[in-house]
Amino acid sequence: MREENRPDPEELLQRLKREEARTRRGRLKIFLGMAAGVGKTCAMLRSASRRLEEGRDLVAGFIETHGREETRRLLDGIPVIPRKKVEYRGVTLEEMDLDAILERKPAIVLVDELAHSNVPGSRHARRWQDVIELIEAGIEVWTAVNVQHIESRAHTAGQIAGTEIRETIPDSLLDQADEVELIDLSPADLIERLKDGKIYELPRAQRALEHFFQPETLTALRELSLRLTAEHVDQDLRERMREKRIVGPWKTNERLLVAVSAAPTSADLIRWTRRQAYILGSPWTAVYVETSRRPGEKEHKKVMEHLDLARELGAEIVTTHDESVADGILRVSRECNVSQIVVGRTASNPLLDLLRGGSITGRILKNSGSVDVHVVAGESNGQTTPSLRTRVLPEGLVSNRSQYIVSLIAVSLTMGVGFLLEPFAGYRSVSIFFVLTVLLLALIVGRGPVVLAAAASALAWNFFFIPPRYTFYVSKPEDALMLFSIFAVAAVTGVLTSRVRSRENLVRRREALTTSLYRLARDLAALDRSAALARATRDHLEQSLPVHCSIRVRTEHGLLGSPALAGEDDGDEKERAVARWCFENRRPAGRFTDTLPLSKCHYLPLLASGQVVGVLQLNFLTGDRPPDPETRMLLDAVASQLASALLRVEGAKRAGELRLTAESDRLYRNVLSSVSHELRTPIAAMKGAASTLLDSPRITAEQRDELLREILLSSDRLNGLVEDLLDMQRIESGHLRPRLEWCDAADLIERAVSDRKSVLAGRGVEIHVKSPSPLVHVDAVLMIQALGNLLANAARHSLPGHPIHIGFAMDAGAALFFVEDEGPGIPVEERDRIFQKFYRSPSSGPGGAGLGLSIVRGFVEAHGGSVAVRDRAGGGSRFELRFPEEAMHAAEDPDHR
Amino acid sequence: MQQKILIIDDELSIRRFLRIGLEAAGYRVVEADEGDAGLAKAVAERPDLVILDLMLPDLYGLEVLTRLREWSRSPIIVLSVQGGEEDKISALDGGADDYLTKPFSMGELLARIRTALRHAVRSPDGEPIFQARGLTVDLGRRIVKRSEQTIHLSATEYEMLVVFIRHAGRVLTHRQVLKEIGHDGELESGVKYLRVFINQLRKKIEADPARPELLLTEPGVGYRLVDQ
Repeated sequence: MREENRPDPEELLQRLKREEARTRRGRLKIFLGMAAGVGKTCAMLRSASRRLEEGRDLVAGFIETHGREETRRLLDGIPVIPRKKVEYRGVTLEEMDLDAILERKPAIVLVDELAHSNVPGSRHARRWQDVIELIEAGIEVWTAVNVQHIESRAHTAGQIAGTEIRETIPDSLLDQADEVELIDLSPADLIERLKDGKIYELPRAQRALEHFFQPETLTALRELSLRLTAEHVDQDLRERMREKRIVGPWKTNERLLVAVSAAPTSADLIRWTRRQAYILGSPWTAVYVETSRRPGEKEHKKVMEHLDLARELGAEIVTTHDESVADGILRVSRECNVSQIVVGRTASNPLLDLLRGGSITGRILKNSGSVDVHVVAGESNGQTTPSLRTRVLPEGLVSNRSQYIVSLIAVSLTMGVGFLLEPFAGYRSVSIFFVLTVLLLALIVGRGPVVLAAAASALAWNFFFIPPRYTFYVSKPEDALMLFSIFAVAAVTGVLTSRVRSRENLVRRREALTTSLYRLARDLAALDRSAALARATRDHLEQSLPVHCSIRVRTEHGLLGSPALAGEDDGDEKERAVARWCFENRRPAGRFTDTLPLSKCHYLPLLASGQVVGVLQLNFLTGDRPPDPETRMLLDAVASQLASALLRVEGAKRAGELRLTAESDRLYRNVLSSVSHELRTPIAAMKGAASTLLDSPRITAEQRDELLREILLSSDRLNGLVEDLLDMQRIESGHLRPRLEWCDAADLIERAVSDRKSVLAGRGVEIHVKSPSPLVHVDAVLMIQALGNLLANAARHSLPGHPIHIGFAMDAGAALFFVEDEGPGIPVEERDRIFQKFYRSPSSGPGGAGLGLSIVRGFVEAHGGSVAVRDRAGGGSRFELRFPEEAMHAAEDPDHR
Repeated sequence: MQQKILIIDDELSIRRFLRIGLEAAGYRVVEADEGDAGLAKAVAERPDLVILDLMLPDLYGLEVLTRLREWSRSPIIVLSVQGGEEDKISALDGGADDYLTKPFSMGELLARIRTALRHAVRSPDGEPIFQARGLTVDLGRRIVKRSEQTIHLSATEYEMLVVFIRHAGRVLTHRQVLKEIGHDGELESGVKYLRVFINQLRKKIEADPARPELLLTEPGVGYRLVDQ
């Protein structure tokens, strides 16, 4: 197989992810028609009846019969979810009951009229959003829509039919559809149906015939719908081919970029690019270049609308700053590896273009290098071309009105000063003051006011100072030259200064953004608890934006818990519901979105690695103006930073838990093998001995005694094990509180040795304590047992002939008990492990649960002391129990407690 | 003549009561506390029966069993613990004659020892007539009687019963039974097949098939035919 036929692994992964997402989601089937009356609803109902007969759980969520008899008959026998009645401005309207359907959770639901707009105040602005929620709840949705409502075709269809189409659905929904069924009918048949009154009542049908239902119109719409379906089928086929590795056109690494502006043609460009991207099967980017020229309110709104449109159609949105739109577009196209740029044909102004070094389009064409550039003529013909003001005046002239007034006042003042100076200095030196004024103005006002000030200065000097005064007439040529120079110097320096200043501002803003994101990333990296992460993010956001925010983090059960940081809006049940919706549907919700836009706050899901880890709740304090792209970018960046940080924290927590589980599992197995053996052996011995006593009549008195002793020994052994287990339990539960008292070290050693008489039988025990023996502040019972365990351990690990050493010494102010044996010693690598519970050295003989030494350690550590094992001088091992200085201090002063 | 029994167990307390109990029952006892030492004692002492603990510190008990079986035909009884079913099966398949689960009573052990020793001295031809708890099987004439009533067994049932009679008193693992009746294939399906035939057989030979007294189930291991 040729190399290029191999599917890109990245792509396969993407496919898998899509498939995975799809299996969780419900299927979407769209019945597509070219116009009303082709029979979409009927086709849908007929398929529905068949499914019902097959026993599928199908309900009608919303079916509009339009009073058509045929449709009503078909609806018979299909269970219907009652519509919800909604009161709006005194009128009762009927809407689909989304919650009732979600509650009912059928396998398939029928939802007619996909393009419908919901009553204001509903959860979603549009019905297609309801449908998305249904799909994501795992319900299969069948729906119907006409081609003119598909976003990318709406404009064309509107032109064909001669109407404006307002209710559109995004193309991405069509892409998500698992099945698109075209309900086709020839225009002649459709007109026939209309004439028969099967579609509308006759008077209305007549009107429709005169307008919309013209054969040419219908044919054009039919072509549109056929082409749309064909594209969809094509896309399907291509995916299948890719999946099955059929030799065919693999997706090239194409990426499209469309430049977005406030111009009305921009929307057409966006739709055109979307279509192209769909055909190529490639991703696309919409870029908006902000210059230092502040857009007007209307213009800003238009740009936002266009960016939203692009986002809805599936584009990646990039906004960037650049003084030159062309440079900005080219920069982004390089950064995003774009292969094709789409720009509109701009209305060009030869003079301005000369000043700028060519039109935007021209400059892009000149500098695009290997990137293809499409210059697309917009379809809209300028119903709303940008206002004259913006179009004719060079960039920078539109500025704040107060700045113009400041400029004029400054010029007037200069004029006054000029009148005062003129008698002494002559009219020519006055001109220098005008130049000075313009330069100073350039430092504080924008480009426009500076140019105005330059012009005003020139005129004022001319009119008031150049003889003949109070005319614009200039008699001497050197004065004319001077006049022109003043204007030129003032204007050029002014404009340059203000440009430098604005660029500086831009750089500062961008730098501030980068720095603040960097700082956030650094802060988040250092934190390891979700509450701390949330707090850092909130502080960060509230410092850099006029918002109040609170953050909700998911809990172990996947539900949204109480906010990690309570915000002021937390008490509101409605707001909580929006947060939950945002969390469950992984999409922004609330204010400035289409979902529950009437809520008080804006909600962003915190998404990382395809998981939603929480919700960011934002209360903008800026009023009704939606956040600008810069703010949105910042919010998106912050949200994703926070999400990855939260995921990291969760992951770390889970890894810790897993380690713990694995550890306890290992322990459990160890315990099972050693403890079960330790428990069973004495029990087996006791049962065996007792049954021998009962069953064997011929045993001697001596044998009987031996068996009874065996039973006694075994019960001791069993008791010892139970005691050890209980001690271990006491140590681990943290309930071990040593009862400290002043004890004689020699006494403790003496007691420990006598307690273990039976284990030490037949061995020499050498006790090393200097007299007078010092006092130590310890719990006598625990100490005796600890020393006893060490003695037993020494006896177990050395041969019977060798003596065991036990003693006490002072070492650097600390009290030190030690026990030595003359056995083989303990390998260095094992020394740490021997104090672990249930650890048994491979060299130790049978028996023992591996608890003795861990109990020693537990007891000593409860005193604040430490245990260690080292080689004994002269062979064997030496165990040391070291108690800190405090345990000894009072040795000289026993009353000090 | 006193029969000689070798005990291979690492636990002193177990060895101690075994020795007393076995000596009181008239056996001579030899002890070893490790696998290697046990193998050496087996060579030196030639015991009539070996009691082997499967949990030994130095050698895995099954390893000792395998090495013993390489040259010795003396009966071997293994000692195991609850939950060690797999070890028991491996031991039986590996040539052990019987097993006991700790803790056990001396009576049980002595019974097992007697059965094992009897089999060891019995001639390969075996007795022509088997009798236990009301069941009589005349192997020469192929007649099976229960409380003096002749019962008719199918060929497979009879074959299976003969297998059990040949090893009467001893536990047979599923694998051993299947091998004896010439069944080859998956063990899992074989076990199911066996269960069906055992149930049929029980209906015919047991007084109360729901509470068998002759053909006993050894849970997780196999079956045992009672021989007295």
